[in-house]
Amino acid sequence: MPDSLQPPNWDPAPFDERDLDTVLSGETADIPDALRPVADTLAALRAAPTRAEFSGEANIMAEFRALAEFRALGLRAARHSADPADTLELHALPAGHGRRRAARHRTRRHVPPVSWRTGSLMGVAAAAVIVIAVAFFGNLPGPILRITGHASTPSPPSLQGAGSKDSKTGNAKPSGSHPASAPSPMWSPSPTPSTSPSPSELLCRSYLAGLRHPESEAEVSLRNKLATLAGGADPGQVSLFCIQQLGHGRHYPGTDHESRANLGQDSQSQSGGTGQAAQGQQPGSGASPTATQSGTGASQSTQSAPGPSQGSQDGGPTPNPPSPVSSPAQ
Amino acid sequence: MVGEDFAALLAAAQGGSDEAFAVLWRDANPALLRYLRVLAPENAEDVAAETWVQVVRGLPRFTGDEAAWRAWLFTTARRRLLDHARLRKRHPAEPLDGVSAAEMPRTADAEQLAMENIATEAAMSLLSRLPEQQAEVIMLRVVAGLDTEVVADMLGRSPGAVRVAAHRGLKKLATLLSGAGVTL
Repeated sequence: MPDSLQPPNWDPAPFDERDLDTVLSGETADIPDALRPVADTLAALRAAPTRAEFSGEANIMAEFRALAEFRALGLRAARHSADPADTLELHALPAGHGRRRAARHRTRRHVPPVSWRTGSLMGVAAAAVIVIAVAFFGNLPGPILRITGHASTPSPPSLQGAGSKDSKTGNAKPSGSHPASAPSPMWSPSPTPSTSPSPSELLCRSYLAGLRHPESEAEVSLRNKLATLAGGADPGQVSLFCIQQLGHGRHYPGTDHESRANLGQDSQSQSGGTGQAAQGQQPGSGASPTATQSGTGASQSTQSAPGPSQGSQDGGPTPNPPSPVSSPAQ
Repeated sequence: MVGEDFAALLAAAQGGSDEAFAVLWRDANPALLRYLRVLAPENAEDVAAETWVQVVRGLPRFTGDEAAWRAWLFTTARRRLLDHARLRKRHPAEPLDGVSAAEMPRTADAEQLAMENIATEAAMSLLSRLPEQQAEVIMLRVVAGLDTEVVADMLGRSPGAVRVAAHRGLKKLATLLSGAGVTL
């Protein structure tokens, strides 16, 4: 057998892994002699620091101070920005309060108090525009007529004929007559609108046109007559009556045909200007302010006119003021 | 090691106390320098300085005990070391072979310093002859005082692999010491 096959010198290991762990942990007792130099080497690595190992202290401390000052400045700036003098301080509230307050705040923000005032002002302005338009043009604006469902197609019967017809039936006809059940041949209660102005309309137009000179004699006379028709001398009541007349009276002409007849008859007999207006002129010409202001005859013919009250008694769609028996102004 | 006062010192340093930070620095910097001198003798001081600058910047956000503090410090140093190694590969430094010894900078007490830490310097020079991984594991276990699990986490290896590397390094060191007849 060759010598090379001889096993090498298998000396037992002078230390095991536990000894290595002991050396690593820094313990020097009970370690094999073979590991003693290793233990001394590791102890030299753990030796006390030398002065050279503190040489860089000045530099790193300067860096630390600079960064500390920078952070302090940042904190001061942050505190300054959060100064109570610049910031609204909100005090802590118990649970539940914060949510409720926030909701109220949101509601307040979404509905500013200006909006309802603006809406009210706009509504008043729109109403004033409508009244003025009706007063000057004798007709409601087209969009309003469409809204109220009233067409403005003119198919007027002759007011002159109606006036003569009604004058035949009697000027002293009681207000309890029922035109809807017994319509006159000239004034059918058909829903087809008529553009012929009624006497009350003419009165109202004259009254509203003369509002620029409210103390004039003609205006006072007109107001008194309209007060008789409206059932009160209150200017607001008169204005309401006129609005109703100018806005709705022509669509159901049978309701006030007697007052028309009275007005037409008186106008024909007393005043040419107003009589022309009452004799079936188209609204564009007969309702002109100059024409109504110049004539005062119409104002004298409606003292006993029962007109508008009949509409309400007939169950018409327009609620009119009660019919006066006699004019309180006279 | 700082010991029981570490939490108070750390809080004070995080609050801006330079005295507290100086205590922490004096406790850890020698070990850090020794670790770096074993792994990168040429630029250990530069890497140590960059490491401390990074630690100072991240100090207010640090939370943990002393073991975590040291682990954070040496992890930061290891990353800076890797950065330096990459930089060295891209921009290799010129050797100073042409400079005579008389022209080399030296401090007044260089000899005294050398006499003070001759044993430590000899030990580090021995460790630097080990394979890098084994030397690093031994330095982290012995000088930094970190547990096997912490070192394994730092190096991205298993605790068993770290233990094996440490044992192999110690055996190699024993062989070197016995063969060279080095006495510390």
